[in-house]
Amino acid sequence: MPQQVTRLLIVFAVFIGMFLVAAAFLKPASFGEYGHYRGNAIKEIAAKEIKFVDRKSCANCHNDNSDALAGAEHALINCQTCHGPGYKHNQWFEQNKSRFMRQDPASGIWTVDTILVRAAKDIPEEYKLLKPNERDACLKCHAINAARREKVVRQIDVTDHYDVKKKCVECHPPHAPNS
Amino acid sequence: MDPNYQHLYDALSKVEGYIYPNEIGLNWGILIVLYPYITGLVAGAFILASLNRVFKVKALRPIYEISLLTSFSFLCVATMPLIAHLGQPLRFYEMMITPHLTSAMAIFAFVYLWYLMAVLLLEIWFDYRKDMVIWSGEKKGVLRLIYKVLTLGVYDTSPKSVAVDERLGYIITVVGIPSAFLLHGYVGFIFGSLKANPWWSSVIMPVVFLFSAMVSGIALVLFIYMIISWIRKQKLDMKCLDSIGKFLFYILIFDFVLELLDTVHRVYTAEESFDIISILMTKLFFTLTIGQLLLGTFIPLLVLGYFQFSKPKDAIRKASYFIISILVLGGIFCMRWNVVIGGQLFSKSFMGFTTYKARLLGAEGLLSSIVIMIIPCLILAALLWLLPPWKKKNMEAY
Ligand code: HEC
Ligand code: HEC
Ligand code: HEC
Ligand code: HEC
Repeated sequence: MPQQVTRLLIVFAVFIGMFLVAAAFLKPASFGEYGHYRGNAIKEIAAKEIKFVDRKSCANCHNDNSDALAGAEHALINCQTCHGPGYKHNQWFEQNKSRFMRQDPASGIWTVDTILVRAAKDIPEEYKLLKPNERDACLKCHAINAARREKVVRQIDVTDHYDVKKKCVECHPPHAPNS
Repeated sequence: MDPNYQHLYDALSKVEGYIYPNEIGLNWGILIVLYPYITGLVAGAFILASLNRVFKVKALRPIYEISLLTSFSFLCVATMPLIAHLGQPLRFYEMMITPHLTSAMAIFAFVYLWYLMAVLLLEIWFDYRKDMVIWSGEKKGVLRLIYKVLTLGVYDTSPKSVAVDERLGYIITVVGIPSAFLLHGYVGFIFGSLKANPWWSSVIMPVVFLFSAMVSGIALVLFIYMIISWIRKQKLDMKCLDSIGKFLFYILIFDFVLELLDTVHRVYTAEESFDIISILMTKLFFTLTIGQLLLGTFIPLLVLGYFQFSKPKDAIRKASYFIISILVLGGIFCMRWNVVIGGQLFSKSFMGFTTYKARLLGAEGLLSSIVIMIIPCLILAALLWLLPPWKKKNMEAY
């Protein structure tokens, strides 16, 4: 075999060898545990702070609001679309249920007791949710926009819709806007 | 306005008609335009080199090494736009150590490595080995050491061993041609196989990409050859220029006809996506009509076509070739732009458009793209200094 060929073969063998060694060291430990990806990726994602809950869990305590929503125009919108991520709120009030809520002995349903709530002055701000009653909050969906189809969302002219100084919620109850 | 929703209004002001939320911002920006552009230059320059080596086009001898080195310099940066585009750029190597054999995108690293290591590096090495041995004897100090290392310790310059270099170099070039087709056909395949996008999804895409690659590679070598001769104050070899011009002409025709075929097919079948695509084509007025078609195709075709029948004075031809090389390079860039950016401007609902504005800064900005285009020029300059083709002893070979 010509000298240059043997020399090249050696160089390539060294290169491939180095590659294999590097590959063995660099390969993430949990790779291939479940499939063609890092098994730990799932654990890392699962370990992230939870922000949202499913919409049913809001109904556990706010069944009046969820009932109002259910039959109305906003039925398809998740509570948290308007009120913001609710996980912390849920956890905290679940732990302090007995302080703010009453259970109906007959049906077993818990309801918020406004008197107890008003009396409590120590609810930390971070566990409260948004109450988006400003005009802008509704207009992010209802303002006229050519990219949105009228079939999907009814749109209004902001400058010419009844009383422009009033909040939308003064005429439209947010959970059942047409009632 | 509530700052929480401000971004939503800003985003919506960019769209027209109806568009799905995930289509407002383009996922593939200017970097992904550069990627097929650069790999195209690589493949095209290499194919020009092989015209001389394999197909024995003698007139192209003066640019053989320049084509190879150009191809190599651009190949060195071909992965950079992709890596800069990754969400986790520092993990790029994982693509190679955990190969995914059924993903066309994941296999790129291997297509690339094959082309770099098994084709270009080897061909350049065999071509320069004898000269590097000679230079290592002439030079002193660090340079001498560098040449010695580059020869891998093979100092044999006997006619027999040089003949071996020649034969192996030839074989590698022969292997290299399908490899160059693979490299760039592959890039076209990636786009052509995205069946969700009617602007891309076409079987002819790999072939169109390949021919536009050749066009741009030839134009690049033409440009670089003229610049190098100008810097070195050397006379240009007019036979070589005319020959490059001739190949550029033929391949440009092929490229144009293929794209025409694609367009005619779209117009004739007029599938459901046709309406939106025909509006898209009017929206891409500057890059498609002006950049790609008028400046990048028609003018070069007319001028080059005219040169096939009559030969004006050398000075006029030189100036024309120079301008044409720039026009064609710009035209092919526009073509990549129209494919990559154009393909993301319209909604898959076929009912609306978004807009694209390249940012200046950031990993995916304009500035980093310019840097990515400058680096191969610096690499090429360094290579030409280290391995000057004009100082080779075997300029008559092949
Ligand atoms: C464990 C019971 C419980 C659950 C589950 C719960 N909440 Fe509450 N929520 C309360 C209580 C008690 C209050 C009253 C405290 C107050 O007024 O600030 C409250 C207050 C609120 C308020 C503010 C009312 C105001 O007047 O300030 C909103 C909005 C709200 N909840 C929405 C939600 C949403 C949305 C969910 C689902 C993600 C949810 N809640 C889940 C118990 C709960
Ligand atoms: C379209 C947006 C929207 C949706 C969806 C929505 N809310 Fe509300 N909600 C509001 C607004 C706005 C207010 C404030 C009304 C006010 O200030 O008068 C409010 C007020 C509340 C309050 C305060 C007490 C009250 O009755 O006024 C609670 C509790 C509440 N919402 C719970 C819920 C729950 C639970 C859901 C899901 C079942 C939900 N909301 C879905 C917009 C919404
Ligand atoms: C997340 C987007 C969203 C937000 C925020 C929102 N809406 Fe709606 N709204 C809808 C959708 C979707 C419908 C149902 C489709 C329709 O009829 O337009 C609807 C329906 C309505 C309707 C009934 C229209 C009709 O006659 O059918 C009214 C009124 C309305 N919304 C008022 C409001 C008000 C007031 C607010 C602010 C508290 C608000 N919306 C916030 C999405 C939204
Ligand atoms: C002064 C009371 C008032 C205020 C304030 C008001 N609306 Fe209305 N809105 C109405 C009435 C009444 C109707 C039903 C008559 C109609 O369809 O025009 C209506 C209808 C609508 C509809 C349905 C339009 C359609 O085409 O069917 C939407 C959506 C709506 N309002 C959204 C809003 C939003 C968002 C705001 C806040 C920016 C708002 N409204 C403020 C009284 C009001």
